[in-house]
Amino acid sequence: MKFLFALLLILLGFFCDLAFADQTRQSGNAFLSPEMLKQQNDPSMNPVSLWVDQGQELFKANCQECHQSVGTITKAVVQFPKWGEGKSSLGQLINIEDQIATCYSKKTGKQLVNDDASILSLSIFLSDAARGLKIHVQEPTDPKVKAQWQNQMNLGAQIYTQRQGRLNLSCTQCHDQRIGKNLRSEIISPAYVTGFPIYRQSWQAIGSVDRRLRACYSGVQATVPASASSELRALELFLKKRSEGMLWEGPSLRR
Amino acid sequence: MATLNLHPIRLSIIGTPVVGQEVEVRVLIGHPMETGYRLGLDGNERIPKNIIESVVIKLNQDPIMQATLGTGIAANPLLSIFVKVPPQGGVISIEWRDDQGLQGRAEKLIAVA
Repeated sequence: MKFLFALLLILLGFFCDLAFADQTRQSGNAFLSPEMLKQQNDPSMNPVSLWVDQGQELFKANCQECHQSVGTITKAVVQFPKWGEGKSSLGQLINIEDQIATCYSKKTGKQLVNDDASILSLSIFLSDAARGLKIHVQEPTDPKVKAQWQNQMNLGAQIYTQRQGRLNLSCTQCHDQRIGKNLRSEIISPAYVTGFPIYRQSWQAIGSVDRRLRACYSGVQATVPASASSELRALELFLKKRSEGMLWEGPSLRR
Repeated sequence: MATLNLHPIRLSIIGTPVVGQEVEVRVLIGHPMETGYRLGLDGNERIPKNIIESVVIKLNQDPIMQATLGTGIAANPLLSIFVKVPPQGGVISIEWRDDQGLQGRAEKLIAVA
């Protein structure tokens, strides 16, 4: 009898755990209106599909020589941000757009900024191909580097929980404590990085995580950090680690 | 090296075309649809107007729809029309032209069984 009871408790605990996990780990798609979701899932209506096409052409022309097929590098999408190993990025975090820009300049000799449409198109193409992979942030193996990496992670967590801006809000006050409630006309979703780059209707353009985070700073009326600053990369690393194990959803449509 | 096409276009036919019945044709045009009212990052200079002015959709070379777009249309416009499928099907084509003289076109076969 005792044994049965214990088994019941374990099973109950298991199901509670599952329910708990589902409830606390909803992607932004769960907060979209049915109309937006329909538009997002239909390539004939989703503007993102234009850049998927573009990215595919750019990939064929510029990247295929080294990376035989897109399948060989899609896992990078769910692993970034990583600790830079190249000459230009040694000792700092880089995200996928940084990596694409570095590759692109090696191949073509042109140094493009991360917000450039070519870089974003390639990022969107990779992101689209990486749908369904599990997010798995790569930790450096070298203990010395790992300590630096952990510092950046801590910095990201600190930024996430620190009040800032004229509204004096921290990320966590909305994106942990007020999930599902309204912020003006928006429903607050938890800050999981499961589907980037995004096409945001209010921007009428595509944007990376970098741009999305800068928009958050401006939303609470804080000083907006420069694009590609280490602060943004640290925050991105923390957010990606928070989404560890969730499924990648490809480029997304947002309001 | 391939460069980025700033004005991509995607023409889709929704569902299976059946002769005599209507089929939905959707077109997505990559275009900034800049109204000319916005200021640039420096806060002084206006971003020059750049708007698609005319869109013509043809079925087997015959114009079936003509539209004049203006500043009220969002960037990357999505247009959708219903076309009656002619016997033997046909080719649907779309052409757009903006106020800076740029043009784009796409075409697709409406294949009937």
